[in-house]
Amino acid sequence: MLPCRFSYFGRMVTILAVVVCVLAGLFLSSPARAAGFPQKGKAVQMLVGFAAGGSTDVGARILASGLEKELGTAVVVVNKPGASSQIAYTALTQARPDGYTIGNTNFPSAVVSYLDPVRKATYTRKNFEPLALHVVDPGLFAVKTGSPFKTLREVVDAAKANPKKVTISTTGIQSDEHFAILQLQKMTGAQFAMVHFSQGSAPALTAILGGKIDVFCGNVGDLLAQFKSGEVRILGIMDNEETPFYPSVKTFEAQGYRLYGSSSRGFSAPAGTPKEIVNILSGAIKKAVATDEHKKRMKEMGLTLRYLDPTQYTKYWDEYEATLKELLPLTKE
Amino acid sequence: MQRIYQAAALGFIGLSAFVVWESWNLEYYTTLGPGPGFFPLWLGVAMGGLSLVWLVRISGRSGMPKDVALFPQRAGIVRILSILAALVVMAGLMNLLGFQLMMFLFLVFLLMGLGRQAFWVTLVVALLGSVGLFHLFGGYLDVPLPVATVKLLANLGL
Amino acid sequence: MDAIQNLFMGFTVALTPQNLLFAFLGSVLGTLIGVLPGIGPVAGVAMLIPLTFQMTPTGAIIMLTALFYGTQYGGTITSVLLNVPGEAASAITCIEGYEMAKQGRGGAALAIAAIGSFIGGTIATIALVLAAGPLTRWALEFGPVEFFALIMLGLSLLMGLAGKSMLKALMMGIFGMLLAMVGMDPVRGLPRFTFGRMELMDGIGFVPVIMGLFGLAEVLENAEKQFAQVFAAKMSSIIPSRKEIRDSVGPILRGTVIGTLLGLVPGMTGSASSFLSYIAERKVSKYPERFGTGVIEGVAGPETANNAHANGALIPLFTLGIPASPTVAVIMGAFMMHGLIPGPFLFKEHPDVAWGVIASFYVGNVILLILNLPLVGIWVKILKIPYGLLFGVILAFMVVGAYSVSNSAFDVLVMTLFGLIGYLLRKLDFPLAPIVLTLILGPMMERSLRQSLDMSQGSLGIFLQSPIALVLLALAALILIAPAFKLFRRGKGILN
Repeated sequence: MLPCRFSYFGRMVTILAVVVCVLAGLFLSSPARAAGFPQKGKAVQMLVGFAAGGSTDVGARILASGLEKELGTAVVVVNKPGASSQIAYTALTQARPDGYTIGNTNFPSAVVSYLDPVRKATYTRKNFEPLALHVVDPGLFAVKTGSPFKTLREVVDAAKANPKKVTISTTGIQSDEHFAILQLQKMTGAQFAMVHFSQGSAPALTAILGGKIDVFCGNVGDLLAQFKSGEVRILGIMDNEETPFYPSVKTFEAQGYRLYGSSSRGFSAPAGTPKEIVNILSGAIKKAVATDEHKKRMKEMGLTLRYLDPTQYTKYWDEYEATLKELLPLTKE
Repeated sequence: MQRIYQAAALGFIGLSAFVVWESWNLEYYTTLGPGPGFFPLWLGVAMGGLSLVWLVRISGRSGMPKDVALFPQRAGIVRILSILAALVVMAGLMNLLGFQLMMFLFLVFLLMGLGRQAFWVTLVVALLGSVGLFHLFGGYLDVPLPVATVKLLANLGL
Repeated sequence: MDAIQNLFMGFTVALTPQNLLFAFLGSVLGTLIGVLPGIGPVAGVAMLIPLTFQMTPTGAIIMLTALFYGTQYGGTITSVLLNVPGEAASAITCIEGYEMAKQGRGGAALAIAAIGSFIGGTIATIALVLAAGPLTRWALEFGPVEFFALIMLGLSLLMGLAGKSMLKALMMGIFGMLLAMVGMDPVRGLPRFTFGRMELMDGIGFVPVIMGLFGLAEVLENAEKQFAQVFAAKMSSIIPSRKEIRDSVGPILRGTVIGTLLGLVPGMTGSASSFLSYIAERKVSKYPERFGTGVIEGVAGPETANNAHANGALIPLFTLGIPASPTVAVIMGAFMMHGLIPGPFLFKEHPDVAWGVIASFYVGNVILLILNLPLVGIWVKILKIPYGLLFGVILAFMVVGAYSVSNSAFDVLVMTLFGLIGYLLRKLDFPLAPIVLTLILGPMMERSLRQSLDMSQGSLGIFLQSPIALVLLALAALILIAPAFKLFRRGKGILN
């Protein structure tokens, strides 16, 4: 019963407000439905935490166009670069878990962003629902072709004999190269002088070709041009199998160092996305990845396809996180 | 007008103090070289020193540019503040209410409110600026301008 | 000569109707993207890549590279006419170009800029054809140590920017340097001055800052009075005067050298090149105090430099397979997506593609010159729109432009804040140019210093071991000490 002192007008307004609120509540709280996902005409947003045109972005866009065919609805890539993807991850974990928002989750940036307290991330591992691993870019060591280092062993031995004298490049603090080198140091007792090139691999490449740095540490996708022209000698691949991009280059494992480092790119949905939707999305990614067209494009970009389904990806994530957790304090030294 | 310059100088000094204080908490020097706090600290000190010198200079001599109406009349200040306020509101609500609605309101406010433009001109430009730019950037330039997060508006396509 | 023969072959490829069309399309789109504030060449190239899948590799690359150096032409337009930097490398053109526009000489400024851009781009391409090898070897000499020395030289030229007040220029330089320190530091990777905001972890965005400092501040200043007509009612001829042409020759030549050489060095941005050209012009000019009032040298030099830079940055891609700038990295991706790996062997395996693309650089620059010169008359008409309407349109584009940098509304706020700051600084008669200089060079300085010290494990001796670094540092020291000498001699203190 409305108080008498409210005018007629006031009462009408109040009733109207209540009606609007109820309607809004109805609109705002519709639960995620698996049946009929994805609805035709409703686009799926793919959040990418790196700028347009970069390697991650290109890979994501290629997948997005494949996904569109599999899902039957538009897949729109939205770039939200910044803070090594933290902005994109924040947006992803805060999005509605209805399957219409998925995002790129790259390692190590995703894991570092919530493990490192300095980053003040608003999310943790629990806020992600892994969908699929897409590509893996294994790490490698390389030297300039005229360099005195002919094998991986020579590099490690030199770093052991002369601590902090062998210079090696990374693509930034807490990059996958940084972690890989820390692991190698732990494993062998070698000590490298790490030089961080956070502006990408181009300045690092210049430094190695110009003879300013002894060893280039990067990923398989970085040296396609230089390998072809014979300007670099790749000493080892940090993977459990050799890479087709650089035939005749042995793995670290084969040379006695059980080091597996890589930067990898996968996709996740916000936690709470219903299981059926997760399976639909992951299945679609699997099919998109298996097409010849997709494989061809990934090969041209120098990216190594390695699909893992949600369960496998979760396991991979957990293992990766455990490794990083140990190494993280070392990156602060 | 001297007061204004002095206020500005004090502003710079305040900024310098803030910078020095923040840098104090950062690592000054690492084993290999200047740490994160090194340069900001010294830059802050330098800025503070220079600001102090400036303050002394403008307070001392009478060689100040006299009678230069430094700041505009009341109407001008209102216009300037309105533009700034409109921009802040635009930035703040763009994600909530969607680009198109906000830009439409923004342009109407600026053109009719401040620019004293005619109604029809404003309407055309505002529509082009909101819906037009939305489709231009979203469709052709790969820049997805925000759509409203408020469900009601999102369902309307805004 | 072998190269010339190959070049002729390249022309036969580049001048096919299809490839001409692609060059034309790329040029037009590039100009438009350059005009739109905020969207830069990286986004432009990236956006076009999917469209190029249906095209031949040669055609695709021709279009994308035309777009790339086309943006350098387009960025000038809004800088000169509206004081809104169309993209980062055009920021410095605002300072002189806009003054010229206000005096009715905007047409001449744009014309000289187009001509200078053409000369810069073409000569850089000639350098690619004739001297790619030596130039690349030169570029490889620039490791972190030499890079640091180069940046220090650039910073020392800050002294050359002091117009009336060295004190104020220094304060602004320091201010810019402090702004450059916002974000993750290069030593520890810890956030500095970010107030806990993720968006600041990569630093304050350069493009929103300059859009605010120049574009928005200008609008605010015009808002002081009722929106009267801002621009000189009578636009003098759009053809530059004889004197203007004569005065531009030196800056254009110097700008070409600066742009080409710096474009080769990975890590150097187009804005750094154009900026260094500006201060170089100021240094060699007989009338340095006139800078800031609309001096053609301040347009001719930087505009030439940024185009020479864009074309120069393509050289390491062909000779080493290294992208010297982010846009070139995207173009490299485009190469790869068409199944080609750029590098020296491209000339052996696909000479038609390699030389066809190089020849198209000439063609593209010619197309852009032909496109842009007549368009000057049209662009200039924009200024006739009543400011009460124009300012709203400008602000709308600036909002979208600032947003589009990172798809973030936060950048719009940054632009707004710096609009206010820029306005206040102008009122208090502080020069803005030093801020831009240190904002560009600051991060590079800290990063390369850290990298150098990482290499030497803390020893400063590494700087003494590099001849190039020594020369550059000595030059820097000379430039810093010289004015001090002069001032001491005159008997005044440093505080004039």
